[in-house]
Amino acid sequence: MSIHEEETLGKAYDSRLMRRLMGFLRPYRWSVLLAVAVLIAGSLIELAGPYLTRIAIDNHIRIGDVAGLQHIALLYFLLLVGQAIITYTTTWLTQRIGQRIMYDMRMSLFSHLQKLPLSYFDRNPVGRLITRVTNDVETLNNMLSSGVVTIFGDLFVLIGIIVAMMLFHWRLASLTLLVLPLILYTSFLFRTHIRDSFRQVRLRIARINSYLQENITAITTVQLFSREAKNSARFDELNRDHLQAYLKTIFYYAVFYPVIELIMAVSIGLILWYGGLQVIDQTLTLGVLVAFLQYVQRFFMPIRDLSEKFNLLQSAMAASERIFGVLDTPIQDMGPVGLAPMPPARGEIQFQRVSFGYHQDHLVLKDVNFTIKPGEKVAVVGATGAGKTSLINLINRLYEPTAGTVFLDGVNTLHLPLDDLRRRIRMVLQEVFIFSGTVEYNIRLGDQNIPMDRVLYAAQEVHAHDFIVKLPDGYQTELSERGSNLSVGQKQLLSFARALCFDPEILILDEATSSVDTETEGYIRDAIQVLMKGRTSIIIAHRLSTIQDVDWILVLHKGEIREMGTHAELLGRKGIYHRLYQLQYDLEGA
Amino acid sequence: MPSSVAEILTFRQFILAYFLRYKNRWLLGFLFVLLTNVWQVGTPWVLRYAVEYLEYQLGGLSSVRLPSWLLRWASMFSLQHFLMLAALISVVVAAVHGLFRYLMRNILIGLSREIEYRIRNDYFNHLQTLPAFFYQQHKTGDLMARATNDLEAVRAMMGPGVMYMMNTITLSLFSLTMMVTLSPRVTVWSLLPMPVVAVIVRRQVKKINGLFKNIQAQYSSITAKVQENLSGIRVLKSYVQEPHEIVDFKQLNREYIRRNMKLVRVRASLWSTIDFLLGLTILTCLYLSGREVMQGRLTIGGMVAFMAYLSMLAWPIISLGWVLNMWQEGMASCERILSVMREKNDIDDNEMTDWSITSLKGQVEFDHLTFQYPGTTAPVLNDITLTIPQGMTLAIVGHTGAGKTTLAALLPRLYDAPPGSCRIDGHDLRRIPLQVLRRHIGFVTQETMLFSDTLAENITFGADQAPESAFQDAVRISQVYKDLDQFPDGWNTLVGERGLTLSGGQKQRVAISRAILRDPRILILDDALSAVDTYTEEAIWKELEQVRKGRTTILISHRISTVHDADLIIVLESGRIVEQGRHEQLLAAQGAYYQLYKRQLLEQSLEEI
Repeated sequence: MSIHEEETLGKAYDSRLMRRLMGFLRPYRWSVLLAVAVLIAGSLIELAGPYLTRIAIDNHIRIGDVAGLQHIALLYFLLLVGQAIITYTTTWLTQRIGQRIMYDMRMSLFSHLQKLPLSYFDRNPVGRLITRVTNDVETLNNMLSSGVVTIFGDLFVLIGIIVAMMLFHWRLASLTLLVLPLILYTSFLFRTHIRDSFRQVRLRIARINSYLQENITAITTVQLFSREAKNSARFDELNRDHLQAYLKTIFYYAVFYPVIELIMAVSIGLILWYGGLQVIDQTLTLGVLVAFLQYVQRFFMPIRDLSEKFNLLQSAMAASERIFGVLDTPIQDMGPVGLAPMPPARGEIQFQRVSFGYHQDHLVLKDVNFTIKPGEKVAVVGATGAGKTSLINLINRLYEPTAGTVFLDGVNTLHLPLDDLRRRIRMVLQEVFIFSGTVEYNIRLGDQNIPMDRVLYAAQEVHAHDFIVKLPDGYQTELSERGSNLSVGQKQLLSFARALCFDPEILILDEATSSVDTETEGYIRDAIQVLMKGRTSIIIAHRLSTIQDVDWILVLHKGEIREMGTHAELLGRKGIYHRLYQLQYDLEGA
Repeated sequence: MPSSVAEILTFRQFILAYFLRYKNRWLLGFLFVLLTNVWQVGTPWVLRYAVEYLEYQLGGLSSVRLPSWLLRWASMFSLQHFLMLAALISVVVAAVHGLFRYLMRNILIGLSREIEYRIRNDYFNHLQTLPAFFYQQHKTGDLMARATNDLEAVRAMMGPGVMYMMNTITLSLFSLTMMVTLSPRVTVWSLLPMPVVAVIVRRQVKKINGLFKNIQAQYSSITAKVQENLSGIRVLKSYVQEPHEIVDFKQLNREYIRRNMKLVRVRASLWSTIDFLLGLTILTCLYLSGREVMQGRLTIGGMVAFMAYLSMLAWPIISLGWVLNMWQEGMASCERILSVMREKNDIDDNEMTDWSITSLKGQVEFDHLTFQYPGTTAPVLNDITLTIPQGMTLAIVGHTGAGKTTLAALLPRLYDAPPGSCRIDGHDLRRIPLQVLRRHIGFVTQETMLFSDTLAENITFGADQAPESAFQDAVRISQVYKDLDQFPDGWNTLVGERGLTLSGGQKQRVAISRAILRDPRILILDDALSAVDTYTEEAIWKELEQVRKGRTTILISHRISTVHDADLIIVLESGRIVEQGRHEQLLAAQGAYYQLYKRQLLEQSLEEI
């Protein structure tokens, strides 16, 4: 947990959050009811022990009734069996509810994330979002499955003990319970102190960790500037602060338990004194006195635990707040639903006065206008930062224009169902993303409807087949994270196969700049031609061969279209394209 | 104490260093464990006599014979007062017991925290001495985990682990003694389930750990899936793969729940078994001691005390399994920490060091330098021979991966070049005391590392003794002072995670101030102005002209404009010097440098459109 997050933690209970959390509980309300019922039964059994002891002493042991004692023992045994079953059932039942809710929550978080616009992921680092889906949900589970339920259980036992004692001898019970406010007050005091000092501990450990991390990542700087001694001193300071904070919590713990035991001893003393007198006066039996002594011991345990449960509740609240923060982020407009899929597109793309910026105040595309006719192949060229990637991202609505309209076959893309739009346009990105899974999986992704021979066909067409079959398990070879067991060129061919496999109507290709060996270069060149064949294609071109193959070229410069035309035309104009061409392709050609 | 750290290599030395140094406090802690438990077993004993006294007063079937001392005492007080005294004694016993328990916890747990503190310090100090190569082989997260999770496991072993163990042993001994005194027969029979509980707990804890590891593995899969999904979200969205991703995730999620439920079942059965067996001991005790009471061999008071001892014993015995596990994990974690402590730093002063060298002038020589990174086969630098006279400026240009940074990094010995291949003022680098060497070098690295501290702290990072005027000079030269009005608290503005986020250019300028403030003889600027805008860059170069006078300067850059006035320019290609000379000479040669120059002119002209 970062320092920042730690500092926001502090809100203990929020009824609005609680209500939303309860919403997740609703589907399991019958299980919850059952769990509560079983818990009550369990509490009753727990109360039975001292009661049976009392009966045994008063009615059997003191009068020498061996048979009676045996009966009691048998009954006790049965209760023990019952208790074992109930303990098992409650644990199982409550944990199951907790696990299911955790499952539901993870699913809704994950599904929600899938529907968020890409700009959301630009703003939120992946690491943070992972924490939401994993860590935060886990924290919440701790509260739901062990926290809430055991708090109920403890409460039942407490109430049960009070009722039982009252029924036995209300005056002795009242006297015994005199210490109750004292306990509650002590627990409250302890809880506040321990919470504060634990927050200090967490804050300080977070500081230690960030300092440690900073030092590890910047170790070279530290060594270059001979800062070792000073940094050690600083670390020692942080470390000592942490130690001090911890010693404080140790103090509270070390004090709290003995104090609670002392209060308990006072209770026991009261029972001995007042109860003893009643025994002598024959208004109380010895058995009841013994039962009281046992009840008191049982009474204190849950109270002790209650304060720890509170901490659990607190961190769960903070976690749920963060989770709901994600769930409350509006999803991207998916376009009209229930519409019949559009007829196959002709593939005309038109940009009309399109402007776009990742931030409101800084446009990366300014007033872009162009039309690509069906089946045309167009290259987009420009220097780094000219806006090429942003341009292609607008076509399949990975981002949406700040102003102006993008049309597909004359229809505003904003009015098309999003998944339909994306299905018809395929993108091959410069940085090939390899998923962990088999080669086959990486070509057809999760789409089970694509038959294997289509996968094979696609791979063969783009010259990926040859290297794939040489892999240890051919198409079934497991690729590691980010495809580290493939070369750069192989990864590209694989992504071409992926695109071809889905047989798009429109192809968008962001050519990779990385250099590959001549053989692979040839394969890639062929593959690109195969990909472009018969479909509208827009390519951010980095290869000389590619710009020679396209119908016309669109030159972007600083977010604006500066030149359009065929390769020969543009070269003749001796403008931006000419210079770009010299920069990018001249050396390659030489 | 870094000096002792180097000697801690084995577990035995570890115990010696961190455990035995507090021998007296440990002994004191153990003494309090003993005292705590002596008083703990006192409470039931008081109950016993109080109840026996009541029995005596009641008379009836269970005719109780009180010990003579108790009778004597009882005769000294009225009934009312005697009971009050008993109550008072039980409170006093609890108070004394509480006091010792407080002292026990405070000393033993406090001690473990202190050891944790010491280990963490030693670990950190050791990390600081380790060379760059070590950090290439170890992930930050892994090194962090050792200082957090592993350290906590070691702490748990030395604190609660030791305390509970001692507690269990002494408390068991004491309560057993008391129970045997009351009735050996009931003791034996009622305690029968206890060893079973201990064995079951121990075995189940092992099983639980196995299941837990399974769960963790699945948790990692889920994390990996989310990570992959979010990193590849562009592709996934482009290929409309979200529904399939959700299905995949569902499977992982379901499997996670399934594994969790497996653990839940084991845990649930463990708890219910423990509950049952403990209940069984109470039941046996109730039944048998009831029979004993009827036969006049035990009192009800004794029976009450007996039951109290039984419930007292329950927890320590259950926790035995956990404590053993704590020990096991602590040992494993300890080994992981030690493995880092064992790492040696090869780049340090040794018997070759010539301590008479206390200052440097800055003449740099490379003599047939060939260098390869440890663990690799291909050399990064190949046969470099070059002399930079004191006060001269050398510029290094070349493509990414040509070896420019490596060449510079050899000077402050971030890596060690082969003996004899690098010299400053004619001394082999290894003969110069490391502190002296690094003190004379101001290195502005490619990647700027600032600390989450104030700007002032970051600038005086390597020269906290520098006078105020030097500070002002440094911030003027780097042009950071021009941004001063953007920093809310001036030079005391916090930067980093919790403070101001600096732009890339600002960071680089802070780094330049930091290096200049050291007043180095050799100034190395490794692509140090890449994020600074052209206008500011020009201003910085102008200021640097003064600074460079009398100092040896090494410039690494992609931009011709920054290197053209260097005294010597070398072009590196795959670790070899392919061209060298002054700007004009290299242009005239029409080689690699010339190509680079032409390209940059073109780029510049595009930029100006």
